[in-house]
Amino acid sequence: MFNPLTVITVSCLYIGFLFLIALWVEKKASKGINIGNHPLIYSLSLAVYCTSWTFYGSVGKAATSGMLFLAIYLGPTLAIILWWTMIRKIIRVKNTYRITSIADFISARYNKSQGIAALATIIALAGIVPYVALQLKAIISTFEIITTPLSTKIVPGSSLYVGLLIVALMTIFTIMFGVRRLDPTERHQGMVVALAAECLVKLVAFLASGIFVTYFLFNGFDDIFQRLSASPFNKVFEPEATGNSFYLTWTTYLVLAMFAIMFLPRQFHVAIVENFDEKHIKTAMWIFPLYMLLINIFVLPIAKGGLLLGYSIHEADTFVLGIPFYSGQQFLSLLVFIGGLSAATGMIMISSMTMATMMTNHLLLPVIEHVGWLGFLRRYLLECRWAAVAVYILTGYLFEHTVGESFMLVNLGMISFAAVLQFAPVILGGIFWKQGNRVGAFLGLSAGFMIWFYTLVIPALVKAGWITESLIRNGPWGINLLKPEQLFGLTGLDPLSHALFWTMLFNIGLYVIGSLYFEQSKEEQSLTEEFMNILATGIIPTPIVSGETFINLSDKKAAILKLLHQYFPHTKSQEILEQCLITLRLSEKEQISIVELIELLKEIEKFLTGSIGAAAAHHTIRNSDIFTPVEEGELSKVYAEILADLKLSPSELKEKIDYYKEREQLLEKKYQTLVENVNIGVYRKTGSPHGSFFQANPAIVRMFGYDSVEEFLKVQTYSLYQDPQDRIKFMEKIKKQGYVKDELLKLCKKNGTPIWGSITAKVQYDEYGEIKWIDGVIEDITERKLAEDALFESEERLRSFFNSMTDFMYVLTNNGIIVQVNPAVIRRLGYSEDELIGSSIAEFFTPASKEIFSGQFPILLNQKFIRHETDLICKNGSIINTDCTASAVCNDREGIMNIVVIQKDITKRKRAEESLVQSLEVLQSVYNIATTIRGSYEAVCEHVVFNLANLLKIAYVSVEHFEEDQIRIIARITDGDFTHNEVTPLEYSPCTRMCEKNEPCQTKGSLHQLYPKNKLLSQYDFKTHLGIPIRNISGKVVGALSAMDYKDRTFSEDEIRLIEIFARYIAYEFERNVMETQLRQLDRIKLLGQMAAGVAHEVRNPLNAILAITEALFQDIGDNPEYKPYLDHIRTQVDRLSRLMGDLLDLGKPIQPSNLHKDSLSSICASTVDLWKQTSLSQTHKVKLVLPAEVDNLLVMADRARLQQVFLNLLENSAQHSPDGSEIHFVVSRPKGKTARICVVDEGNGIPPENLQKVFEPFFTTRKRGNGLGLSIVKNAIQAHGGDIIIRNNAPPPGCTVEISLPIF
Amino acid sequence: MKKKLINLLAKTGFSVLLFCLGLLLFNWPLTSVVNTNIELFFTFLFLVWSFIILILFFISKSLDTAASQNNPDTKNTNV
Repeated sequence: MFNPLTVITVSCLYIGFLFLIALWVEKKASKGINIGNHPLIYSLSLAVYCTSWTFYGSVGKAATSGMLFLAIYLGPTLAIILWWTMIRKIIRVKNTYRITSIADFISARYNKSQGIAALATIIALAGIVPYVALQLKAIISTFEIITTPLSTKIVPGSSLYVGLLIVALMTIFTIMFGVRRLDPTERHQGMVVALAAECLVKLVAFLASGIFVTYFLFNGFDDIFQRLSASPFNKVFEPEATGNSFYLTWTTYLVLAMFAIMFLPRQFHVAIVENFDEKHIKTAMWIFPLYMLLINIFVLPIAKGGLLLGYSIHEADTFVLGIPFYSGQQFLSLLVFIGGLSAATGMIMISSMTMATMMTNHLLLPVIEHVGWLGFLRRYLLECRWAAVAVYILTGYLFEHTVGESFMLVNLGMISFAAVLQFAPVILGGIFWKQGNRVGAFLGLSAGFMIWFYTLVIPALVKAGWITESLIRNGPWGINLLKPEQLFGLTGLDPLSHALFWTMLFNIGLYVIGSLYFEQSKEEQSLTEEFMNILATGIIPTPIVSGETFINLSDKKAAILKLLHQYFPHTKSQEILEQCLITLRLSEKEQISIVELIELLKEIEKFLTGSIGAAAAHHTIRNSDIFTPVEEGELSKVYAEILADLKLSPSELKEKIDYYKEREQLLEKKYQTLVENVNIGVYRKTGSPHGSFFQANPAIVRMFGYDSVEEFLKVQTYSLYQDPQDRIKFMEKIKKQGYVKDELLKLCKKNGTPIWGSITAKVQYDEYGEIKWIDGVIEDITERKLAEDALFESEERLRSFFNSMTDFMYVLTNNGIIVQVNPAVIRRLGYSEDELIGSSIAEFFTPASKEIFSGQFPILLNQKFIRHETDLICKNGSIINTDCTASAVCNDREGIMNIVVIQKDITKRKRAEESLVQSLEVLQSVYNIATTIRGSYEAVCEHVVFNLANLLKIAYVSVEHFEEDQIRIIARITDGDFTHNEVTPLEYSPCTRMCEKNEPCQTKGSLHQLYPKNKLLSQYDFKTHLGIPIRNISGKVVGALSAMDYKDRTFSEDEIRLIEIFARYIAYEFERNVMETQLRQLDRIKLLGQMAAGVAHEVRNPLNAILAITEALFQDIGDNPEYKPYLDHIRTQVDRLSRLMGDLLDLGKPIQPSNLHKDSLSSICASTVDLWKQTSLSQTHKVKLVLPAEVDNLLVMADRARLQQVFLNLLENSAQHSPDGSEIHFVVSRPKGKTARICVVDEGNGIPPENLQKVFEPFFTTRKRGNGLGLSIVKNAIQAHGGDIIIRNNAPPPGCTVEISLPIF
Repeated sequence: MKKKLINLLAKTGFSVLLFCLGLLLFNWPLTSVVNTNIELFFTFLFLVWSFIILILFFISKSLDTAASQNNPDTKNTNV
């Protein structure tokens, strides 16, 4: 067992948790997030139908009556099949009239009758009190079970205080959840979500108990059924035991439950009043029956299991809790208790809340209306509802306490079901039968209620002992025909079926008779129309009709506020009024018309309806003093004026209306004829995701290639799209905008052929803003689209061509103004598009081209085509040569529309042509020079400078030779004048740099300032110098071809190449000249050598003879002093002649190549010095041999003896020209490339410059005793070794240097 | 086929038919045929009930796709 306090605490915590859920949901709702707006919440909230009666009572009923209990859930399942039609209609009425309860709904339909509303409230009150009693009984019973020790017997109803506590808690919870404020919409989102949670909990709890009993205490359904068949309880479930009345009772239950699911006040509240969206019905249609199936699947096993386990059949109502509890499953039993509590509290809360609303709106308010001193209660409507909740629950408890003990739970519930069945005829008749009226409804309801009370409640009171039993047995006053359970002698029916029969007979009968007998008022007729057609058309808001504005709005506002203030606080009243004024756009007005006042009151009435019900609101407005007699008169006048304007009597007006109806029908027919014959497709389709047509004209059928309209209407719209995504996009767009205009879509015919359709469509909405359907027209534009596509493709190609072509392309107006250019123009010319567009094309031509274009333009206009070369000026000033083609674009009407100009950039071609011409000229010049010039080297140089000056158009050209430290200008032309053979120091020339770099070199600037010591430059103001080196055959720079000009110019590569050509030519000529000179010299030397050798040979023999004779004479007479001087002189002269002859022989003796061998240069030099030391001159002159380490391994091809002789000669020559005691340096320098250098440096007097070139000539000597052959022989020998020899004065003096170059290997 | 089935399920007439079928299956005399023993009766009722719920599920889904057919104006008629 559980401690009672524990159970109460757990229960309070559970309810508190639900309350937190409700608060959270309402907080979210205030931020616009409607959690309650979900089909699952709606479906679960409907399960409030499954109260503790289901939770506990079904098992009790199953234990006593077998499967009879299931009819209570099969009935709702059958009813719910028709909900999409029935409930949807009622929901729409609710939304339109702000219905707050079932009584309100009935009243609204029947002319907002307060009497009917009150009657319905009384029926509901009387009918539902037993139901509340049933819930309280369940809670109290189960509380007692789980709080009573197992060994102690439970005494039912022993704990009065528990019941009162539960009543108090239920009252508080109900007020907290549902009656915290006056809500004009009467929608309690938080409470509904909490209720859904409760429904989930009770399902889980029941399933847990069922699974425990079926699978833990038994081995499943089969086990229970098998055991039952062997037990005495089986008889209870045998068909024979149930008897024939079973099927009648079964059907009665089925019928009662079918209507109870809709018309029980709490069901009406959750299904209709709390409904957010009628689409939720669709989900609820299968989820709610599924819920009922699940919660009932274990009912029979639990009932049977309880009996098999030995529990009393009288305790069957509590088997669900009792079996787990007595089996020791504490937690499970607590869960089941919470489940039962959920079932009971859910019902009590919703039921008491809706009943409290009905009681205050339909019972209390009418009383307040009639009892003046109770008027103050209007301000305390909310508090009155709280009191109503408390009274209602307490009444239920008292009923349970006094009557409930004598009934099983199910029986109590069925009495309630029978009560609410009385609403069925008036509600169903109200929405489906036009003639049903207020009187009929009142008669039917009254009769049904009275019969119900007499046949079901009176017997219950008898059973409770409140009334004597003879009333049932003998009837009142002994009249058998009035026996409550055998009324009018009807026997053979169970009490419930009996009551059902008579109540329905009287109810329906009087409702129909009353409705047929009495006529509806006009107002009621109007309401009936609206109720009947609510699904078809909805309520169309009446537009405000303007009229004479004579009513002071502020007065009316005050009156309305006064009226509202009776029910709401001042702030709330103000809010309601402001909202109504804003809705009707009257908030800015001071005066309103009578029509506007009516609309305003209608809006106020709607708000009041939400809080106090339709009947009370209508009555309140109608009885208010807002409408003055003058205004009522004015209203009548308005209607009269309408009739007067129409010049009609009321009967004529009716005729006219009929006429216009007829005319409308004719127009409709004409419209249909038009639509059927038009060539454009007209359709009406659904807005659902897949979409289907429900109206279509023949044109659209033909368009898509279908055979008939019927066939087309069966097609889903998505199948008409080539790409299903297009439909999705189309639907998104039309849903977003509400319409589409000329929407282009790719569709397909029945046979799959693609077509292009232009669709214009508009969405039609219902009053809830949902898409009702989509009306549209569609035009087949396939041909047009294909043509457009082809045109577009062509344009794209042209545009692509226009943009991508590298030639310049312009589109001009017919007067030469540019209207379009391609990117190549912008890119190449450098102008922006803005600069080009709007300008004349001629503005971008050079003056010459502009002139040509101006001359050609009339020809273009005349002949439509011209072609010529034009030069364009770029933005940066450069010129572009173009080949320009212009064509005129014409049409027949307007003549020349545009001129298309294409310019091909031919700048490079032009430059190439010019360059070619120039090259040809150069080649011609070179050819001329090469072929025509004959003469000296100087003459060739003169021709070259002349031609170059002409070709390059420059002021100065010269051919220069470098000689030691000076420049010899062979020939120059300056401003057309020739000058020859000038000498200028090398260091003062711009060619210095060229020599250093050994490459062409340009110098810019004022040359006479840069080289102020250069006498030539100082005479002119040259600004540019170009020096091209002239190289000899071995690549050595021997001179330069210089070009100078007065202007600052840059020599192009072509010009430099041209000068280089001439430089090479000069070099060639130079080499030729040198070779010729050398050749001539060699020939001369050779000749001399041969001659000298011949002479020497001829002379040497006589000399030898003279010498022999002289020696003989010397021996004979040498001692004679008289002859001795003569003999000495003869001997000396003969020696001298012998040496001369020897030299002459050497000069003429060539060096044989076979005598040349690789030899060490340093070794040769060293041996030479050794030989030198043996000569006499070595006594007076010292030779210093300098041999750097780098020359140790130098090898030369040499005739060692001849080379030694050469060096020795040079040393002797130096010694002879040097003062005694001076030193001679014999230096072998580091090699330069492949050339070894050997220098002999003396400290003598040097050589006069004019003799420097002559020293190597044979027989040239400055000494009296020299023969002038020494250096000639040296030079011959060196040249025979492939080397060269030069001589120069030392700088600074004294002395001179002989430098020998020898190739090394 | 599927489209036809959806359209059929979404029609009000089908709901009425199902309602009538349910009434027939859950009432005398059919119930008396299966009410020979409690186990059979129990199985019969729950099977039929499950079947009806399944049909209701399909009706619910078909109403989503063909809701307009419940609208009186959405009859298959020419314009």
